[in-house]
Amino acid sequence: MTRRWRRALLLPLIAVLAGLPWALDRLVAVPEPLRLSKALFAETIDDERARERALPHRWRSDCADCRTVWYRFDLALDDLPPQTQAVLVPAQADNVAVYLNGRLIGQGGRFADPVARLGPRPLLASAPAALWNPGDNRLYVLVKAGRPDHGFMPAPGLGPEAGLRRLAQWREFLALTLPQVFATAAAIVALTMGAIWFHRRRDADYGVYALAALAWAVHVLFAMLVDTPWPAPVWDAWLATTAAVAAAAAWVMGARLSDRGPRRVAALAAAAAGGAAAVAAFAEPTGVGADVVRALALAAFGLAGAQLAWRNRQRAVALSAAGAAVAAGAVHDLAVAARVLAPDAVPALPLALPVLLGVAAWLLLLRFVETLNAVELLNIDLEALVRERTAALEAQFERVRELERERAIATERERLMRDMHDGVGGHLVSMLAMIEADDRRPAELATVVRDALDDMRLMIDSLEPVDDDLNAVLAMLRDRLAPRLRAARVDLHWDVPLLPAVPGLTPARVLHVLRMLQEAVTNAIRHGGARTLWIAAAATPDAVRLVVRDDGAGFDPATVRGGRGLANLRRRAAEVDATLTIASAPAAGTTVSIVLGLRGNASAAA
Amino acid sequence: MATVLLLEDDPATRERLAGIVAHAPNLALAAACGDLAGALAWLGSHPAPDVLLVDLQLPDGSGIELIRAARRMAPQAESMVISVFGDEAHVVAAIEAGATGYLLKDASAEEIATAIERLRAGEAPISSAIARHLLKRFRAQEAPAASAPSASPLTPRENEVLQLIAKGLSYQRIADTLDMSPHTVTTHIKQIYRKLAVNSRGEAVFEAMQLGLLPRAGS
Repeated sequence: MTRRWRRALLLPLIAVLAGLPWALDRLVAVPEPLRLSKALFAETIDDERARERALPHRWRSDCADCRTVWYRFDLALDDLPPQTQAVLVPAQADNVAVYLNGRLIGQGGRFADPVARLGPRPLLASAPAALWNPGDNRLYVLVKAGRPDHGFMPAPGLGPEAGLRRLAQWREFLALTLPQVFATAAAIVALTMGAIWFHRRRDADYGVYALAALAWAVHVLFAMLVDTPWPAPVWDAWLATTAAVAAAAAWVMGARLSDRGPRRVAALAAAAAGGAAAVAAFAEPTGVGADVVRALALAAFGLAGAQLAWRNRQRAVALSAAGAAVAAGAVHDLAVAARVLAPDAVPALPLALPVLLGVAAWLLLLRFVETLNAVELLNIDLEALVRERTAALEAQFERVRELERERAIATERERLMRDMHDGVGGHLVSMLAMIEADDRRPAELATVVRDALDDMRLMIDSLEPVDDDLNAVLAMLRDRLAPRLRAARVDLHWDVPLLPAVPGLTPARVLHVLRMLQEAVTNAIRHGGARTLWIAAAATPDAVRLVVRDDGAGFDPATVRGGRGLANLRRRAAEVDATLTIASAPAAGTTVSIVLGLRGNASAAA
Repeated sequence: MATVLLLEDDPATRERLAGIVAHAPNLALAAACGDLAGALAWLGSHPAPDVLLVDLQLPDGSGIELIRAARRMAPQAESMVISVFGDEAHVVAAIEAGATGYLLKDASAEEIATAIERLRAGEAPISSAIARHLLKRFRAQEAPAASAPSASPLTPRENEVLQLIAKGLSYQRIADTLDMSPHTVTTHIKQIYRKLAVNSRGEAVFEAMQLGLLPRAGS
């Protein structure tokens, strides 16, 4: 809804709400033909001193100290009434009794102190046809006030009972039943809001609402009590106090709920109303103070309502309308209190304030729901944020893993290239040299090719995952050696027991070990001319010893220093942190032994 | 006299191997093919050979297809893979398809003749590395069915044999260790080969063999 629309709707709405109390007054007023608007007034039942007074009548101006007075109505009838008649006294201050021709036909409550307070309750006294006389009839209404200043006599109605009863029921509904229902609902809502505030002290709005609604409910329900526990002045002060507290709290609440509430003014008003109520309660037992407080409280309500209506006229239409209703109700009741309106009017504020309480409850509920929604959204946002962060972290981990993988691949490629350069590359170069020299030595060429193939197979074998199992490595070597040895007619004695795991048996180390053993075997056959080969392994707790022994020609280690084969053996032994021993003597064969440590050695493995 | 079908795409190698087979006293070359299609066609139009020597990487497919076809069309024929390196990934795949061993392409005439003779005599050549791969393969098959111990495809005895082969022990040594004859070791190995071939071909084929719809492996 646009702002213009709201404003256009607001003015008629306020007009309707403001006119409502007066409309209700008209609705429940005793209709003119039945109204008895004049009576003879007397302080005692002494007809000589009775004087005529217009009704409704406040007797304080005639008798400032009177608490019990009489009103006499002289009714002349030509014929007896055809149906049952009734007398309706629309409101009481504070108690009445009705007599027709000397017979009591209706009574409110207790006449002893504290006097029953009938307040806005209508009294309907039935006057059966049998009680009427043709000609003169005399109707007396006895009125007793709790305090002299309460005293007044409304204009009673006299007529057929059925119509008046309906009117009485209407008045009772508007003045009693409806406010009671509202007050009870307000009390329940107040308890709920109070519970919320109790668990959420930071949110003062709920507490202020609870105070306003509860004070109001107490005021309304107590004001309707017929038999009061305390004397009238104290009871009046108590009622005034509850009204003042409700007014102040309602004002503060309205200010807080407004978009831009004048909070300081609200607090001052609350303090003023509360202070006035307290003064009235204890300083002025005669009751004038109570009226002042009541007037102040009503004025406060009116101001608060008007302010609410004005403050929220543009955005919170409901709050503005409720403020208007309260203001209208307060002005109406203030008019009654100031005797501008007849005192038998139905109090309007008990009907108007529940509108404000309802709107405020609705707003607070909306706010509560909005808070819940906001929290939910926040949670969703938080979850999304966590998911986002998790994804980012995962991506980062993935990147790190990727880098590690790339580095591992690069390292492995470098190693493979070095190994190929060492092995196949060298063989291919010597093959090329032999072919270019055109020596036509196919047997030698075949040997070099076989060596190249063998070396490639060693490389492939070394890439097998062996899980630190040296037995597997040696078994692979044996499978590779066997055909070559058979072809060379060399006997192989294989003596390898089950060996313990050798930690850090990486492909690089495996290849070094395989090439050392292969080298030893090749040397034994090619250079030593061996016929028998022993390959053995043995384990100690700390090491594994691998031995290649042959029955070939042997050599003198003191004189034979060089040889590419021996140099390679030493280099590889150093690379895998193995201890290499070569024992040989001319005509006594050669024994090559390689000792591998069982303590894992990361630097050797790298 | 055993007839041999040779499938090898490299002409020089094919010529060399064909020569070796042709000159071996107990072997006769039935045909030497250069591609898969030719070999399959030959197999479909001639009496089944006793032995197939099959290269795996061919210009028009994988030699494994020929091994499968031979199992179907010539169940009594023995297939051997010929390979440069005898690397396990290829050889194990071939064994799963029904091969019973492998030859290195640079093997000497004597080695090739001996290997074929041994194969014909009922031996099943197996290297330590292949044994290790088979152990891993069977363990992987076992893993999902860990709750049912009977699902393990190998008997404890077969498992022991395979483990000792993987450690590099000779058949004689294995026989001594497990207190059996070397012939029994060979029988176990053949059984293991058969189980590998069966286990790798899915339940449908297995069921079909149980029902007699397909010839049993190696029988």
